[in-house]
Amino acid sequence: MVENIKFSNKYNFAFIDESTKKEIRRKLLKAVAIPGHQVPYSSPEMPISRGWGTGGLHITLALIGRSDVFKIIDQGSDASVNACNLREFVNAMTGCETTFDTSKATLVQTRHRITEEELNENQIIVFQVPLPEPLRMVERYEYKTLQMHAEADYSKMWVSLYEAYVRYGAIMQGSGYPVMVNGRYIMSPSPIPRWDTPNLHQAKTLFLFGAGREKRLYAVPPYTDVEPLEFEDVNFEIEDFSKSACYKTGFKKAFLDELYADDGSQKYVISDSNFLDKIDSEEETHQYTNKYIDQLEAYDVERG
Amino acid sequence: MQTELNYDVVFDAQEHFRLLLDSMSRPGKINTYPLVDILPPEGITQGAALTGFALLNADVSHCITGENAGEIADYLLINTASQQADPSVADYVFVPEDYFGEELYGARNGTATYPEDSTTLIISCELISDKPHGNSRKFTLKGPGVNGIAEVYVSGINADLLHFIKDSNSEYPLGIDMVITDRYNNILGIPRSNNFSFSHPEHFNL
Amino acid sequence: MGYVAVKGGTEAIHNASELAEFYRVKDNTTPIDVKQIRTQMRLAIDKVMGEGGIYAPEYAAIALKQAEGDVYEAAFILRAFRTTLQRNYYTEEINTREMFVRRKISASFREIPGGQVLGPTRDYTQRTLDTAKATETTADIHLFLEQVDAKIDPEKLQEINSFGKVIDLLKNEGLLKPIDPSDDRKLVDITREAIKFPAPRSARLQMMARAETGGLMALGYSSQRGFGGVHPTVGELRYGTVPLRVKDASGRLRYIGKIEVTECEMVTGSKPGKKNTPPYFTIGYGLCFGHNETKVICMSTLDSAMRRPELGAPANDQEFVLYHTEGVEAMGFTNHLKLPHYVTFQSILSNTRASVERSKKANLEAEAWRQLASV
Repeated sequence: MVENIKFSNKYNFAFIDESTKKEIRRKLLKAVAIPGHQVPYSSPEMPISRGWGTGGLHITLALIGRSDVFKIIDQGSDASVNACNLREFVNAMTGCETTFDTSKATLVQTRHRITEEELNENQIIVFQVPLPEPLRMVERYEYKTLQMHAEADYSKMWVSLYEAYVRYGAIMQGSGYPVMVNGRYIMSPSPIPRWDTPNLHQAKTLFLFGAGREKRLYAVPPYTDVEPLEFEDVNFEIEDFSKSACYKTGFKKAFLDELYADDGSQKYVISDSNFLDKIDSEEETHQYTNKYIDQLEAYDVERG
Repeated sequence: MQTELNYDVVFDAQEHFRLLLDSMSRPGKINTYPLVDILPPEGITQGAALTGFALLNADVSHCITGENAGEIADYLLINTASQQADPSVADYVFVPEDYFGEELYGARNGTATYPEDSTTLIISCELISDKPHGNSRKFTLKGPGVNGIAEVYVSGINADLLHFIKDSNSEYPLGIDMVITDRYNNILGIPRSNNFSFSHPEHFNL
Repeated sequence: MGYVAVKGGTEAIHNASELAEFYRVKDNTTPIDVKQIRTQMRLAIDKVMGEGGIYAPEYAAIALKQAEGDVYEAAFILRAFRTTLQRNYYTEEINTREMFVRRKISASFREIPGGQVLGPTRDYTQRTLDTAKATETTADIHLFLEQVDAKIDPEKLQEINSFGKVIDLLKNEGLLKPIDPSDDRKLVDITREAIKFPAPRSARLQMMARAETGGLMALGYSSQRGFGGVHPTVGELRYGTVPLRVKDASGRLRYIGKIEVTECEMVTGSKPGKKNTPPYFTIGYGLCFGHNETKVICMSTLDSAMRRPELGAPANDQEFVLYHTEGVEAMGFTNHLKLPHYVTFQSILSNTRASVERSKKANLEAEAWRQLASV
């Protein structure tokens, strides 16, 4: 535990005061009870910049106990600079064990990815969310988006997706692909790539989302329908890596990062750093499977 | 009356909240609070009291229905700083075993824009079990958090109360969320998103 | 592989923060005393306290020192510190009528009760760079202070007075719009719950009191230039100290100290009302910690502007004004673009590549058809 010497007062366990933790906890229970609905919360300032994971931290710190094993990733990587900073903060404020190993963690915080390995019933994953409102791209005013959610009036959203299709021949949404949760709310799954989106559907794990700057939190409970928005004839598609392979392992069936060397040459590597390590050292892994990955026949599951 | 000294406001609250979160995320799953050395007054079980300790503070209000309301409210006030309020205002309403009262009709089920602005019921019952037992109702649960269908057996819970909740939840996302606790610190969460049905109490031969 | 080298992240951030600390002191000069910052950087301190949302000059000075003078960063550090403090009491509302006035001016009347008190202001000085400050010595300061002291004749010191307000003159004459009981008087606490729109005036004023001065200035200025124009006149601007009181457990009021605040009451014409209602004046209000006149002037302008949403300019739009002048959030989010986004970029890259591919194919086909047609 870090002591604040100058002011000679100790920080509370998990930094946040108990009263605010309770508020976050109450709101989390409501968020779970109404899957996909954004619940406003007080979102106190943290010693971490707004937009750098404060919402995720609020949830993590409201959840964490002494026996938790904490993992945090950014872009899939345990070693990403901001993730390292947040890991040290959580560790300093709680004394909790931290890990890189996806299967050993009880609590995972993430920015922009779901782990490549499937999370189980005893794990919770917390997403850092920059822009929680999926309708913001079609409606700039909050009081109006609130109304649209209240009435489940999502026509503007559908029109926007259709317009993209007419103009570019595809629904151009990249990451953060909007999803319909439990048949009721359109939700932003945070900027995860489309590769990860199907893994939210009927999952074993509780997914919690925290948008600190926008002061909203929301949830997808386990075993909940999460469907990417699509038309009957224009379908959701995941990123296509069939023409690439991880340069370290030859592995293809994973989200890959595109790298450029000094000479401008291009190569790919597995984005999830822990998964890469496990594949590289031929350890056992339990990857998510879903119909979108299974559909892509070009994938060579065997190592190249 | 004095503050419970054996309750750790940091770590007990955290541990119990995690169980509550798990229960609310997985309707039908039975979680159990570890025993804590507290002495709640007559009319509230340890499980219900611990649920209150985990969630209440000065920012939210509560309401006690049933017997011995005054003493229970004092107990919660001393331990959580939460004030008593009318059932139509209270954020948390405590319901004793096998109880239903008309005052519950006022409980809030949220607004279209802020459906979370609603009451949570903390309901006491006799026993929650995955097996049929004396006078237990069979709950069949379906919805988010449930892998297909879940079944659980609860005794000492009032049918009118359950009908009232089903009614309140009929205009989802408006609704009321339930935390059910029994005499043995077992807890069961049934959020409004759950489409549950329940049987008449049956006397099962054990 | 740059800044997300596998397993190298922790070491990299430690080195980077050490280097930042090195840059703060690398020229090996005398450390600035926090007391010096507090007293000689008075206005910077006031900005930091206002945006940090906590009245603590010494802590603000430490934050400024730690942040190498970056006011945004210092305000952010202070905000984060503020959230770790226990809130023991709520003060009773302050009454600026009992302000010990250090400066008080009105633009709407030539003479006001108690007179125009210019107080400490740089408004009527020539802003030439004073190169003599480069060689200022302690002896210079002593000498100056002695000269100031010598000018004060203790015989002539008046009793301490508080002054009535300019708006009271207007109110007594019946020129201010009467308060409608249906007006929004709901008191919320923006630090305890997320702001909801449409926001009550109490929330709007609280947000602006913690807002970033530059942001308020940009929008306040836009309104004055003609974008959703409210035509403001400074009814009264005052700066001074006000007493703070809390109720103790027995319900008795206790004086706990005083704070410096700047207050502005801006007179504007009201929204044209129903037929036969006169064009009353309304008051736009601004108040902030410390001495920051730009802030309260723009705050009070925007307070009026936001009550005229029908004018349709950015300054009239609550959501636009309040969300985008929140300095700590704005700074955090604009800077978060520095974080790696390569996974999200990969996602949009794959879409764009596919789309360009489709377009190329379509163009080739069209070209082929054209050639066929021209044969």
